[in-house]
Amino acid sequence: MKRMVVAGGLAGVVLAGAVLAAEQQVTASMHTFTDSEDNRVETWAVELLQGLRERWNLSLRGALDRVLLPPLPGLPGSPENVDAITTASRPVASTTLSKEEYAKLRQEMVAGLKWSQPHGSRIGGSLYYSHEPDFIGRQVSGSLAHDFHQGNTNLAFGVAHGFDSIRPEPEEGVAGPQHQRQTEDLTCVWTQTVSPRTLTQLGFETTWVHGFQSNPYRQVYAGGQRLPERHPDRRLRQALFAQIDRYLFTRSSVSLRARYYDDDWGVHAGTFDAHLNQYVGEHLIVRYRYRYHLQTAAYFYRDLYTDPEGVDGYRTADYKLDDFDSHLFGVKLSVPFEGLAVRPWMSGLVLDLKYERYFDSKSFAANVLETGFTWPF
Amino acid sequence: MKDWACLIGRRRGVCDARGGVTRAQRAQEARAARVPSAPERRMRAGERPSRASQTALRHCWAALALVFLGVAGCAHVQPYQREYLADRIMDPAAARRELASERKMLSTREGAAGGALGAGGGCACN
Repeated sequence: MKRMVVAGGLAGVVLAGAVLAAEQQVTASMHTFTDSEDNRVETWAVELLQGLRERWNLSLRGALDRVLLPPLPGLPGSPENVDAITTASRPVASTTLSKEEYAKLRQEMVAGLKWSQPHGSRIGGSLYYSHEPDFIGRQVSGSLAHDFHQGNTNLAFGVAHGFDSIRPEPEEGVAGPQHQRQTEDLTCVWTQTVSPRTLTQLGFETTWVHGFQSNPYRQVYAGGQRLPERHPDRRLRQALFAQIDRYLFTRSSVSLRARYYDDDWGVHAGTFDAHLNQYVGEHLIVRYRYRYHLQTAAYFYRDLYTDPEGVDGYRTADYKLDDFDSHLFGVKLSVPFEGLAVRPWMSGLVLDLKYERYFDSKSFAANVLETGFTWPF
Repeated sequence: MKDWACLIGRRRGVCDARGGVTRAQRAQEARAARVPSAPERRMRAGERPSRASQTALRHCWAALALVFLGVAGCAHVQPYQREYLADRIMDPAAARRELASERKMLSTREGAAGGALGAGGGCACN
């Protein structure tokens, strides 16, 4: 309750700041996630973009997640239990706790500052902090971007350092050991204007993760025993992505994205994402979306471990490290109040409604519903 | 289904009352007997799968960079020609806002998602 008050206060400060100053934009959204296991996550988020002095911009974002998970259907650690869903895990090692409903709150805050130079350079930095009962996430990041060729080419670089604390919830009065995890991230993105209607983007991202990367609650059947999950404590992740956006003659645009991912745990993945945006009438925008994802299994993943030591000393029951494919279909409506505004302050207001359906070859399915508005003034 | 090992008492804990093997045990045995996937076969053969794919990744990167260099050299779109690029349906900022919440959702379902700004949080199991 106290945390909700703090998060509400933050949102209030953000909104109050938005009302008092000029050159601002406020974005607020309410996001609901439900899946085939009856897990439910509700997210409220507010973001403020504030122009400060000349060439300086401040961004503040606050989000609150409310996670509701039903009792698990099987024994703790059994493969049919999906114990982690957006932003949430739960203590499933205990039989007692796994048969109760579970609820938790998560808060997230991000503050960023950006400085734009007159010659087309932008330098930025941000701080990220998230808190939930068993996890604290922190991240410091910096970015540099520069325009070339009269703004036709843009090169952007970003670096980030994350340091997270994992503190498993006590089980039957006994607290588990605490763990740390660090993340270094480097991103390079090249954006190129190809024609008056076409924009392309090429990017590379590498992430070095070291520290505890298992789920502290999940257990694995190995050699006839139920043992804690054990993942390697180092992981090098790389991704290459490309995107093309094209404005079509029918007052519509298409965006095609492809991503190839690779890491030293043996997971290789390809993702294809297509968006079609279409004006309906004067202002209404409808977006259709399809996304396909295909990945291979980590080298130490097994459906069944005969040896308690697993493979090379590692064992996992993480469904994310198995081979599978997934599909996502979505539709989004953006309703601008231009021409519909009955009050002057409503001019520029845009209302968004989004529905997405996600399902994969592991018999998992989820519905994502999002409503929100953007209000520049 | 009758199982001779159950009938003579050689399999303990997995037999039902009629001398057959339980459904759970049959499923477990079927999983163990399945043909290993390609990455598993590579791993068992002692090959490090990531090396080959890292080389492929570098080649892809180099090829795409060359294409981009060619494109960058010949594109001269003047500021007054950017009417369509500035349209709301071409706005990349709107997509970026959605990306944060989407990454959070996908990083708990897919082993290849996440890992970038704002991806912290969750369950320490990403």
